[in-house]
Amino acid sequence: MEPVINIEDLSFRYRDAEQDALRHVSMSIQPGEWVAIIGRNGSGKSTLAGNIIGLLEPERGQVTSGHVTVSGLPLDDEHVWDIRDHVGVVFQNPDNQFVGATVADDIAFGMENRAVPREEMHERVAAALTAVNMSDFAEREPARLSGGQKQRVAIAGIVAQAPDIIILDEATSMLDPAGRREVIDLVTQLQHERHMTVLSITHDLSEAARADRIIMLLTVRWPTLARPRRFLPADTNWPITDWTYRIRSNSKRRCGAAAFRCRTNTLRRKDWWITYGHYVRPCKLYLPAGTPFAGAGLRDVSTTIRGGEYTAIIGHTGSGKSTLLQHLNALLKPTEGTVTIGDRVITPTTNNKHLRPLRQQVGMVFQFPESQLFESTVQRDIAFGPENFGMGKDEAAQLAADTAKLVGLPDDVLGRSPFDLSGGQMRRVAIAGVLAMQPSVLVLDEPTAGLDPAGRRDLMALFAQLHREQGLTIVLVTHQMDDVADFAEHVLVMDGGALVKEGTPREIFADAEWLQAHSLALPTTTRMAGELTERGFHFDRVPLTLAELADGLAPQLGGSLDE
Amino acid sequence: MNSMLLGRYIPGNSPVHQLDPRTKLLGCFYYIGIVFLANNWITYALLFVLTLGLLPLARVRLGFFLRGLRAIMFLILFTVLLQLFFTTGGHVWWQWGWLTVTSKGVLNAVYILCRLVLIIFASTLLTLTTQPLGLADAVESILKPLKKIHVPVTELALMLSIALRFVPTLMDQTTKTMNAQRARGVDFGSGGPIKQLKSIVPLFIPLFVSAFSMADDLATAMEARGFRGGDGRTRYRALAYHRGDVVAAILLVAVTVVLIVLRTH
Repeated sequence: MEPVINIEDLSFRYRDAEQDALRHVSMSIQPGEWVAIIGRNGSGKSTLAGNIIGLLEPERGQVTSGHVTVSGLPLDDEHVWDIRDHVGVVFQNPDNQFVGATVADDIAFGMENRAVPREEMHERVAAALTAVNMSDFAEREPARLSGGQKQRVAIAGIVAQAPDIIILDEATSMLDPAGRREVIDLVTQLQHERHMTVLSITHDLSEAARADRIIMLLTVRWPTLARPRRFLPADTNWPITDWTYRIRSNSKRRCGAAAFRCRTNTLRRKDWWITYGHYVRPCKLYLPAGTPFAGAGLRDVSTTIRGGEYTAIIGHTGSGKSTLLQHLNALLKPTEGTVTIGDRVITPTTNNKHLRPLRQQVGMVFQFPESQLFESTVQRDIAFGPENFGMGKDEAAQLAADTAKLVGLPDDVLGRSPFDLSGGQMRRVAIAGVLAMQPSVLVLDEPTAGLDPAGRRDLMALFAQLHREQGLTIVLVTHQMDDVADFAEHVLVMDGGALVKEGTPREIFADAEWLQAHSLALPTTTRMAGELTERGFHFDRVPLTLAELADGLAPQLGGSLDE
Repeated sequence: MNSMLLGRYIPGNSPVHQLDPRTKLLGCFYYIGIVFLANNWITYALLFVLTLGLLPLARVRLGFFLRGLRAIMFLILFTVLLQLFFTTGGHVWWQWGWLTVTSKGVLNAVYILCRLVLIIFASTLLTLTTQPLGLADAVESILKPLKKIHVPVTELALMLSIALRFVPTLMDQTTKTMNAQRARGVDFGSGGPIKQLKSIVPLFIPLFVSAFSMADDLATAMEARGFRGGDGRTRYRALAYHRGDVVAAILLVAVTVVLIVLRTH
């Protein structure tokens, strides 16, 4: 069969760059195939997608070798608009690709551009809405949709255009697990029903595992081709924690090999139950649900976060996690009840002034914290917090340099503008900016969202190290159950603004059905153990971390623990 | 957020909601024009009855309008006081230095207050009952003749509707950035003017940066979806006048005639 996308020996160099972003990439994709492209941040994945539909203008950079054919059309100035008729792209940020003021307008945008007559447009919009199962939302504004729904609208806009190829450019990376499922299930269904070719660029390996074929782009090297089942990320710095295991045979040997590989690749959780002061004392929250305009409120939440503890807060989007978080440094005040942080008691009538010492004590890293950067240099940005809390300029600058080192930033970035750095480095700068305030409690809201798996692992290791070595109290809000299993000592489960369960990870993850009822998942290891049990393995207790899984498996496979 | 009522659409399908946005936009401007025809008690009373009569017809609560008024309270107060103290003529009731309160001044102050309230009510009614998108379409349709002299009307309308579409997104971003900087020790809205001005920097720079990256992303997405400029596009939404629009037009003309008859010459 004629390939629908054919790339031969493609190299691409950005303007002013010293190296090619893509170097001699060749691949061909068959019609109806689902191909995943994976690779680290900066490995050229998005550049590749941009090249397929000619989105990178000559002023951004140029193709230095090779050529691209899409649906039989060569990619050149003459055919680029025809090619765009054959390809639909769903981009990463759901907000930044929503053109229309309502769902229906947004779906129609592509057809408006192609001068489709109005009556036909109305029919096709209605059909596309049905295809993505959003007919009731036609007149909704984007602000009233969830991230997953916005991405479904983007897909509807593509469906209305009936292209041959759909490209997902990290389309699920900013979504919560429910949104991810929504999008991936929809694309799967479209691929089957409409025989679309899917090209998905992703960091999410369980999403990549849906593919018929995975293409891995290594930084400036030849792409590696592999089938998902045989794809072993061990030598490429990808933590296997994120690897969706597939147990296809009953062979104990194969399962064992996977488990041991896991072990060598993960950090072992050591015994770091250090208690260090009691900065966050029994922290009680009694909060009635907010007014209709106030978004997710909280009801009757009472809990205690102990000093030196690593606490995870889990729950689906809209469960009240973020609202709870903002009470921890009095960005929000309870409308009823009290919050006690250290020796400060926050009540509904607490004055907004004099909250600074509290904000210094509780450092807060929000989602996508890099969007708080503003100073001219990295060093000044990190020093901004300490200076606000009354530290002298020189002292703050020194502290900034130390903190930059602590979070693993190279020395030479201190004098550079934060906006010249890569996304992962910007995030480290932002985190350093919070750590430089020398808080005793670090609150993290989805700190690893949007990073590639290796970047995610490094950052989580950093937090674990801070917790272990400096006794920082950590409160982590996350959708990543693997991180909860690996790091947390204490877990709070939120649902509908209420605290529905709390306990150790082992207690929380013991009841898979209960979790499912609250739209939560199990950690990969626990799921894998469940499937292994069905195949005749036995575990004395449910393994949470990969190390525990490997330890549980080894004797049953006749291996030794020291391998 | 709630004080931002100008520009806050309340969904509904009242007769006012269903009017063509062009009718509402032009009608609103026209109405603001004829408010200036009123110059005595009867004419102002007539306009008030008419304006308040539209509220139940639009099924919008009075409270929304009053809150809209509160947002620009100072402007109103300033204008009214200016009229009160600096109008000369008529009977002098009170004098202190160069400040005088005369009977004419009081009358003018009351009239200007009525005028401002009427104008604000009319424009609030427009934005509460018309989707921003409809307004953008109306502007495009009304300005269409300017295309002849090479004004890029379609692009301007698209820019307007995209700007409106991004207002909530940017508001959201503002709240997030403020929270992040407050967590780093910034006190917004406290301290002297210099300090307050300084606290704006850590808010605005991140906002500009994210607005630019949004714009960049959006441009890429638009191009990927085949956008090649304003010409040769079709429109998903069509504007069409209905019976209600004719009724509204006749009503406005009738009010004009009555005002001209009743005003003091």
